[in-house]
Amino acid sequence: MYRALATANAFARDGWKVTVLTATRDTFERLTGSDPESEKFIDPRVRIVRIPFVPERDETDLREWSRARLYSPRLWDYVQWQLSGRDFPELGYGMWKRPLVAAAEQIHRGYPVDLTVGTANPNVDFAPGMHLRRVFGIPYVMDHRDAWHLDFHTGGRLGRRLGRSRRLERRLIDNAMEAWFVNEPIREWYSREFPRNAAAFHVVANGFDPVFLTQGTDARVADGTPADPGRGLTIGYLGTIYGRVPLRETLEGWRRARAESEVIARSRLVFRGRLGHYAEPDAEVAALLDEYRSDGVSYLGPVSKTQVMAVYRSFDALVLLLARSRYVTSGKVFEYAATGLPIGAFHHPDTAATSVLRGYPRVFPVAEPTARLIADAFIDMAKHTASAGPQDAIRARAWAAHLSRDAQLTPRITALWTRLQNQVRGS
Amino acid sequence: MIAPKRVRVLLLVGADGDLPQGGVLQSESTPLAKLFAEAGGALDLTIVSLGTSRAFDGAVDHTRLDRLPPSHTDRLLRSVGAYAVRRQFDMFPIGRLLNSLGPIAPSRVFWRALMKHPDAMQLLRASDIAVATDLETTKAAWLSVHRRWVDDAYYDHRALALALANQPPLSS
Repeated sequence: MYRALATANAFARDGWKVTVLTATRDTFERLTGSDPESEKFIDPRVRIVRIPFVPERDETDLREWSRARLYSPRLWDYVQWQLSGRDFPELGYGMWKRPLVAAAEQIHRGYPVDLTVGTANPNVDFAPGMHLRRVFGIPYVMDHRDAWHLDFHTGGRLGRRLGRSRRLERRLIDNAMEAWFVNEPIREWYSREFPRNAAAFHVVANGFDPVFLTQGTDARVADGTPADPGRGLTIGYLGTIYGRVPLRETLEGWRRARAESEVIARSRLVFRGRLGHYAEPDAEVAALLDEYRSDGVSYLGPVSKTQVMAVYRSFDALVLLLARSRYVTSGKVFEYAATGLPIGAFHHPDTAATSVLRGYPRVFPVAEPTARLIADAFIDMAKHTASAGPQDAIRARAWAAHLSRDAQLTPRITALWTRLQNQVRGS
Repeated sequence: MIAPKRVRVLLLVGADGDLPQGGVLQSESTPLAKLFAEAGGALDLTIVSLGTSRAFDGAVDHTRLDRLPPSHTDRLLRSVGAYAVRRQFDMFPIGRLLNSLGPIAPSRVFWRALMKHPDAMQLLRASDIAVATDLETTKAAWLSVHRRWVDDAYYDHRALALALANQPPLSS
């Protein structure tokens, strides 16, 4: 969501007239959870058009629920899920194609569009671009926050090579002006899959948004005031917990570290953010965190992007938990680095985030995310945090300056502008 | 002067009530948050749970359904091992789907426990609004609004986090 927000703002700052086509607020609140405060950071020049996603799925008024849905909400969900792929081959989202395409066409008729940028997932977000290209010849950019058919864990291909969604992706890529990916390994994978389109593939990495990191008075992080080991440290995780992250290993490592380190025995491990990708918290993750409650582990709920600085200020050090994958960078790694705080990088070195933190002066990586190695890293990080001075934080933040979002986006937006200008001159 | 009518909201909490809640951002809107805002403090919150040990400081009353023995149906189902099967089935998606279709579906278990508890049923009938905080309690809330025991019923999976955080002005 923050990548999309930053992209729209970056285009607007660059002088483009930007219209964002998105779902209604209700949709985000009910399905994925939302961050309404972050709307304050939308550039006022950006026009927002909102259309409902799937009204019946979002319904909270139980009078509107059918007997079939009540009989088994799981079966009802499953059936809806299966039906959703009729218009667009993406389960759970495909039914949004028609309203999206209709709204995009209406926007174009009101104020002619020169370029469409679709950001996915969901991949149905590429449908308006494809439609406007087919009917009106408008170029489009595919911005992949993930990847449609790449299995992030194995590096293999999801779905059948000649399956419907694969054929559609090929058509989309064939007609796209550019396709953006969040890191080099994903771009390379796509280049192997679609070699004749490789020249149109670009890496537009995530980055930290300076605007969110300067909210509020940044007392301790700004001047790098060292932590007080006498009162114990607060080590924090801020971000969504999902997928195959080494959460149990980290919690077990924390428990061992508490038994071996007096500082950590006095310290707290705090988790902030959503549990899972949906508005309903992942019960398994919640139960796992609860299992370690007596070990100084607490879960304190999600945080608005506008409040992240206050949360980082309450932490003395950070833990970065990511699934093992050479294709996973994450968004939070950039923000973590921008804080200048010590980072326990508890993910496999193969993970793409490793390359982002290479050179960061306060990182405590593990060779393998096992409880033993994580415990050792916790202890090393606590020792460092307890003895560090203001200069350590300042040096780390200075190093991270190159990871800002603008540094990634601006060059591509400039290039797009030039290409469109050249097309106009050439026509 | 006649005091404004207080809105009586009943929160139905299933078996996962003891798990950490996902939490709600202050700025997010949920059905319960809207009710709090509309009532402007004139709202009585009561809880009926399947057995959460959490404390709801702002609630007028908390009735635990697990304080009474289970219904005959549930005792029978337990004796034939249906609950043990449910636990196994809960471990994989198709199993959870199958669980949701039979008599040991959590929503049916909750409904039976509620019906067996006279105080809880009385609370439900005396409420204006029923809020199901999880899928397990949707059947009870749905039936209560369709049988006109309550005026409105909502599914709000973030309501429990909101009630626990005691963010809105609860009744004194």
